[in-house]
Amino acid sequence: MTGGKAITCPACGGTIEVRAAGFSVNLVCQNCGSILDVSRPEVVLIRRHERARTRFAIEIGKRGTLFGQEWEVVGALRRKDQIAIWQEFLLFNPYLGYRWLVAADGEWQFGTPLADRPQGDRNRVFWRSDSFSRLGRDQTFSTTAVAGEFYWRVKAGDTATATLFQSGETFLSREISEGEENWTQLVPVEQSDIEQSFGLDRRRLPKRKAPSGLMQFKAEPGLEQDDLGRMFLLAFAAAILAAIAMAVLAGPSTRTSTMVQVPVGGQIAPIKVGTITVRRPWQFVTVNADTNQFENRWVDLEYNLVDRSSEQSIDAYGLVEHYAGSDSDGPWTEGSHHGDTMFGHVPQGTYDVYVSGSAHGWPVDPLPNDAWGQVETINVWVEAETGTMSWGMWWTLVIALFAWPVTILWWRHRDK
Amino acid sequence: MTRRLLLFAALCFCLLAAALYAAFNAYSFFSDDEDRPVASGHAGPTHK
Repeated sequence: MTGGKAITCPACGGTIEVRAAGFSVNLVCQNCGSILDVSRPEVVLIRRHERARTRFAIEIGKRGTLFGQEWEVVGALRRKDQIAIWQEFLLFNPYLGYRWLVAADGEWQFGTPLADRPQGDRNRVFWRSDSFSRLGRDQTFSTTAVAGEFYWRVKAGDTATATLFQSGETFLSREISEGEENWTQLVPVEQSDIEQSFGLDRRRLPKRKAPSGLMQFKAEPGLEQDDLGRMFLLAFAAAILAAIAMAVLAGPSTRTSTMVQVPVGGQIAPIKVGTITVRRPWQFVTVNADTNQFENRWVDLEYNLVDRSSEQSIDAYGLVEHYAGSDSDGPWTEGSHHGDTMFGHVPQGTYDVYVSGSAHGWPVDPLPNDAWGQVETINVWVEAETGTMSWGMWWTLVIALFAWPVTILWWRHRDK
Repeated sequence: MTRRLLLFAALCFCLLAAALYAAFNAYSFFSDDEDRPVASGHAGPTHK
């Protein structure tokens, strides 16, 4: 198929076949690994090596048919970035030119170098009426091993920067190296097709690095199955399931309520709100306090759950406060006329609920009696209830569930 | 299904189990037993 010719390696004396003679510039000796310049009639040694050739998943010289065309593997590269190691194979057909095969994590892409450069900005480019969105951030990678021949000078240790753009299953890869910019279109290919066409040495396929399974925040260059959507779906499903289960486990509900009047600048002795029953082994008990409208006052409330069988008391405290004023920024308000108090881990039993408290003025308590001899009071409606769930715990769970996928999402888009 | 997704599924399961255990025993980080209000009750508003 190709115009091959034989040359002698000036380093080791071995015979090498140049498969794309007239096209190739750079060639790596299959015997000793030395890098040769084959662009001129006389073969020039660029770098001498004395090591066995690097083995790749597809042998140099293999021929196969992909997308209805016959291709010969003339070169191979092993590359890596901070996360992954992958292999790239240079394919050649004298009538069609060069193509690429890229293998990473068991997935394959067929790459076509683009003659018409995509147009756009940093985050979106347009190519042949399709719009491609940037995927992740720029990645610097290096070439770690070279075999075969290439139409440019390449050697182990070369570095370049790549950026990926995605539209459906098609990717555009932009590589910048030493000021030169190259674009490649990448489309997925089944591994079985590669195996059938070229034969595969599966032992030589690039393996996933151990940390990448856990910490692979960057999407692989179009070659990694993206499971981020499933992670969000899983977190959402777990959050919904948890809400339902927590509501069921909160148990049956009983409630009691009353209204108390608290004098401002004074206090009230314990008043019985009513009786509630904890029917499950452990339940939450919440006490809600709502007051009439007031400003610049606060009400300290003390709640006691007294177990009828043991006379043991469980205590908790609540606060209702509301302030208003005006300063150089204009009027302001602070606080609420509502306050919730939650008892956790309340054992099964029947409880009498008591409330006591005191109310105060800000910045100082007002006089006990106004001009008419009336004492200012605040009305507090108190309702105690069993069978409630802790929404704070549910929100904590939601944050924990979404922390990982949100971190990955942020990592991928942090430079946009 | 990727290895990372499996690990995440295991994490979700652990978190869910912990949350349900806490719900069954009525444990909460946010319960107010024995917590006296100290935020602003005796100090007035925090507005400056």
